[in-house]
Amino acid sequence: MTSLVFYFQVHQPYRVRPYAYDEIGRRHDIFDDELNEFVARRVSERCYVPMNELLLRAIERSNGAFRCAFSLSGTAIRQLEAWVPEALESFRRLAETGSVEFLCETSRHSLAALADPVEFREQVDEQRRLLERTLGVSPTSFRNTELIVDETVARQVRELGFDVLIGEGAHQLLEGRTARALYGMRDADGFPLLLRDFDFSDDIAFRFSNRGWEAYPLFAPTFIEWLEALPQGDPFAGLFMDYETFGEHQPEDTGIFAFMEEMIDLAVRSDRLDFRTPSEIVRTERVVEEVVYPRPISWADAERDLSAWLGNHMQRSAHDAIYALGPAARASGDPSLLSQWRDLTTSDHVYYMSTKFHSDGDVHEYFSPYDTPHDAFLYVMNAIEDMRLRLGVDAARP
Amino acid sequence: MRVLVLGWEYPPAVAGGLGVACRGLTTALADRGHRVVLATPRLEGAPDPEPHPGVTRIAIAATVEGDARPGRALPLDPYATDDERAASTERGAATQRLYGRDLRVAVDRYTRAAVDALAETEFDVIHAHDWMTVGAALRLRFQRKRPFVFHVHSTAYDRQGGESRGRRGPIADVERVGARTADAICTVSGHTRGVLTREYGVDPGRVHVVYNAPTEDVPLDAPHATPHAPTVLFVGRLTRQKGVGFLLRAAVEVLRQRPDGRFVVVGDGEERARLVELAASLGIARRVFFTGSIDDAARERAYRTADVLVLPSVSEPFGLTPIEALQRGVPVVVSDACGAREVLSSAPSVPPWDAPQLAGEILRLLGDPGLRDDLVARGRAELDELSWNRSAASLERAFEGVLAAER
Repeated sequence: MTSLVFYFQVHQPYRVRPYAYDEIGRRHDIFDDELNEFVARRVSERCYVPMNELLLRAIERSNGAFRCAFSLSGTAIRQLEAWVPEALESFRRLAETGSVEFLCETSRHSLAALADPVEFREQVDEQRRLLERTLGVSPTSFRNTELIVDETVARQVRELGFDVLIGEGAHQLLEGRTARALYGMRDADGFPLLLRDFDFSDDIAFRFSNRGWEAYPLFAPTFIEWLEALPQGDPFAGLFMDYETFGEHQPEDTGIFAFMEEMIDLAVRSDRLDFRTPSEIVRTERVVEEVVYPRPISWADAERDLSAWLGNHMQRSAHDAIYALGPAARASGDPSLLSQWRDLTTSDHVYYMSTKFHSDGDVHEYFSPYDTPHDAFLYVMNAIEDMRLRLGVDAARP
Repeated sequence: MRVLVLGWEYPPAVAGGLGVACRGLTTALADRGHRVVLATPRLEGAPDPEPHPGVTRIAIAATVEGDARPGRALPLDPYATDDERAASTERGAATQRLYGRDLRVAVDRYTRAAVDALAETEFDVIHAHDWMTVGAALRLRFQRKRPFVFHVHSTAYDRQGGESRGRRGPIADVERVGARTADAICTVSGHTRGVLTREYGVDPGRVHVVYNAPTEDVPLDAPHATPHAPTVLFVGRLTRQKGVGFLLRAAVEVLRQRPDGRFVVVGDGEERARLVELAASLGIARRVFFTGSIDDAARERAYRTADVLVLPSVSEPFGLTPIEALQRGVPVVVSDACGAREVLSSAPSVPPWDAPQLAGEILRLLGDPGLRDDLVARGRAELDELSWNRSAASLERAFEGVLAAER
């Protein structure tokens, strides 16, 4: 029996508005509320609400045999709470079924685990409180931003009391071994690591509507056949993807909703497949082997490293400039200023500054609200300068 | 005298110094009692030239699609280099290609339409501004048998950043033909006369230097009312010609000694992406602000909160921003390769590419308010020597020379 471990990532950043140099020190609203509300409503209408409904019905039809996991970034939860409460309510209904596990992450979808351990801890605490308040859940599994994992990240997550960390089943980590087994992290006291099977995951998330793909069009029975053909010894397959895949990246007319509905029903009826969540896997499976991270690994771009966020000088400059203000922001005693700074730690801001070309560049461009990476950089740097002035941080400080 | 002015950009639709200088000379000629006909292209979406007593405007059909607003870049960019047209994936290349292609078409239309549109117009001399008007000037010279004075504000050589390969290419060819066939040539500086002599093989004896001048009186009322970080300003198009990369390299040293300082880069252009990335790679992005193209009010604020203006051009025919800065009480540092330096001998100047020396001059000014005041006072005294009226008088002498040669 192989368990399908579905985990869907829900995230929306607070996008920075085109913040002009001339506004520094004069205007302190740095986010594009109008755009952010527009995107939140559109993605709720196209994806969150209909897909939640589909999954809810699948849970009911299967009497809870269909199970899956979600992680909702704090920035996404807050946007839904403010602008699309009915969408947040539909996530709450999923939480109430008991078949859906909610993972923890940083409240601002940040790179704090790498940049600022103090901030990381605070954002995890904040996310725990937010999940408790809005969805009534207390997570035990952890997903770091964009599945960025190395031993430093794992040690922090372990200290914060979580049971398992979600990661990418990257070639440079596994070197030929299967992603469909529970690994431990050697240099983090064997902390359990649940990896993404990127082949199966990306069949749905990226290739599903690609007419150039040899398996196009993919139908549910075919996908189930592939999964059923896995070696019987494979305890699970991690199918991790952006939730916006459904209805947003893959529009409804690609047939993605019908595919998922049928695929879930077929898997429920299959005698070789079932569904489990990350915490159920870590409770029931043994760690088979320890792995060593050569460097931080993520689920982004072909490189599966940090280059999507910290690959060029603009990205590193902005990243450094943001985190340089952290101590002052936390010491400011001004909760709204601190919160605004924290929303600047969201990884999307530096992601938009990527200058990668080729296919990954297209992905960056698809997600970016700006004309160019340089625009993204300059707007954010202007916003950071305004924040620096408000925090009274000396420009001369290195 | 009856003067036919063939112009391209003209306020309020301006992209650079050309339009401002064209207006300054044209209106001053009219004020000096000449009858002036101003023939500029009719651009879709662009406002008509400002009226002025004694100046009759004739619109020449050269229409292309586009959106030109006052203070914004024109759709027809007279400063486009041949390289911009060849660029492929750089930011804005699509736009540049579009405008580049349109510019050729528009110049062709202007050239063909000018002869018909001016058939009834009587004039003694043709005063043609920059390469876009050379074709029309040559046709009119041939058909109407009137002398043609070519006024050179900028050359392809300058726009290529002072590289000799700027001598080649279709625009350089037009400039060369214009300079060699014109009855007389005016340049905005001795620098540009040197370029024409050196790079285009023009006889320096045929070249008259007619300096640009301040356009408006700017009251010097408490320019720096609010406290601000020590600020170094650049204003201009982000092209290789302007040498902003050289300023950024100097900024590294300035910021090492004055970490509270900031650099403000006003303007846009094909070098923008490269310069933004350069600032980031030099580790100074937190203290360097790229404003892009900004409106007049924001530009005014930028001047009023600057302590030094730098024009680091590698080859600059004149450069109006040092004048704008001095008028607003901001001292300037210019490169040796700026024509404006010929009229602002009080301004510290450094060789292009010499970032350490530029950093030294900037630091000296940032650290010495007395020196700043002194340089502003001396610079303004030099500005008082300049006026469009005086420049128009020099221009008159060039006109009189070609008319005398005719007789």
